[in-house]
Amino acid sequence: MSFIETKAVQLLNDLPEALLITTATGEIVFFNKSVAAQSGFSEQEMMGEHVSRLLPQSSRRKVDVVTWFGRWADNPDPEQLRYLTLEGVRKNGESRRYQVRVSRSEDNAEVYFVIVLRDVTEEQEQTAALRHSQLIANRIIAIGEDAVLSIDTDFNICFWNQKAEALFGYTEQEVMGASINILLPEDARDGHTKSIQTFGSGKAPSRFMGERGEITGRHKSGKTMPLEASITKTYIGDKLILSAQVRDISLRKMAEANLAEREARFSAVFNHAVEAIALLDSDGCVLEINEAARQMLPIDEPAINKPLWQLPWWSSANANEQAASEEGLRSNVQEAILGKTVHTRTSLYAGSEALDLDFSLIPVSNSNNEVVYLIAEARKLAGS
Amino acid sequence: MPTIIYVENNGTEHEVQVPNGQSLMDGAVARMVPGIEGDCGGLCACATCHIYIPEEWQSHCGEPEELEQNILDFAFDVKPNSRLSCQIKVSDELEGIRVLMPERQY
Repeated sequence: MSFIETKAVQLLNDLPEALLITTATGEIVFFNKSVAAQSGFSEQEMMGEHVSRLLPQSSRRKVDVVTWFGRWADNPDPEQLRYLTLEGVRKNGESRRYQVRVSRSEDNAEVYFVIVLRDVTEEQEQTAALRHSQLIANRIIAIGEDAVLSIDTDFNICFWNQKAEALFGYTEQEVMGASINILLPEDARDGHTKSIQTFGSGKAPSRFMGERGEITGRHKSGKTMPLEASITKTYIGDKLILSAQVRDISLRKMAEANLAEREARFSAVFNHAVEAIALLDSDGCVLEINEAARQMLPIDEPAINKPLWQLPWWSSANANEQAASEEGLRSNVQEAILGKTVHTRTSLYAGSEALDLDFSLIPVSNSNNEVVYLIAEARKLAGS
Repeated sequence: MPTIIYVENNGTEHEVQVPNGQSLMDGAVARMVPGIEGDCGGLCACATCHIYIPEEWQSHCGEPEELEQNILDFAFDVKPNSRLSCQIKVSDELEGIRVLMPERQY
């Protein structure tokens, strides 16, 4: 060997890349220090061995490793080679993944494969772990009840989940890259843009549903709908991505309006009834009193949550009369709590004046036959 | 939009709508179907979008080109009905196709 040849071999041996050379049939003829360090096999052990000792043939792969070398040595495509990996094994039996570069070298009609191995085991495992966690997060977003969408710095849509498709009527293909404005009625666009800009330049990282007012969204059909949104910002480099969870609150608003209407109807009946009515809980404490009851005998102190028999309505100048009145009422309530409708006559006292009443206690049961409310009704007796 | 049924190796079925013109790989990745990786993004370079096409659907998927065949040669658990899903474009003809996945992609 000339000086240059000796030097070249030494340089290949000292190369920081793991390098080996095989014959056309896969017999190892050169095994540098880096590949020895990487694999745990020594140069002496591997010289003359078949390369499959380092890169074993899997029974579940169609092509053997030497055919693989031939394929990629003859037609090296740098773009594709980035993704080509082979299974390897260390001397201690540990499995590794190698990214492989291979070229063909010919010397006096002898063909050799020059092979560089890069161990990408950890890199691949980390990528797989990241991909799995992304998959989990993405699948959670996909099945979420809220529409999720993101917009980029130019307010163009860059993420769109299936619920967003259901809510706004646009498919992912239709909205990706389109302006967020297509999801808003025209008269709301400027205001929304300003609101997003304010949030984007503000200090808060997120804003939650309920912290901001209702917004109006626009379905593909042109129909508008009331929406609530939580919004969060993420900077990727200097690019701002805003992501929102959006919920249609039409049904909730309708339910609230229905509830308010029902409440108004019931209170119209309750407060315009001629009889004095009180709604009591199952312990006989007052939950509601109607207007007729208030007018029958105005009382200054609050009646709500007090036991009916302790209200000053039944007070009397005569201590014995008062005790009897309270006790009588209390036992009436006890009877009603047990499920019996009570009709009686009683007296209210307005200072020294007594007001004689026709008085009823009606138990109200739930579907399990448990008394949950009592209704107390009182009507002035004629001539009283 | 044709409905594609991606069947994981464990039998879990993902029935998703994929727009015409997208590849079977794009459709799976965009709809978060596990088991189809698509590392190279559709360059026909990595064989991580390997699938099996049931016999009755093979004629609807066309023949693999030489490059795809070459890459498949190095994939894991290759069978005669193996294909790379990045090389099959979705069209109305594939409405209802069942796409089966190998045990692993690496």
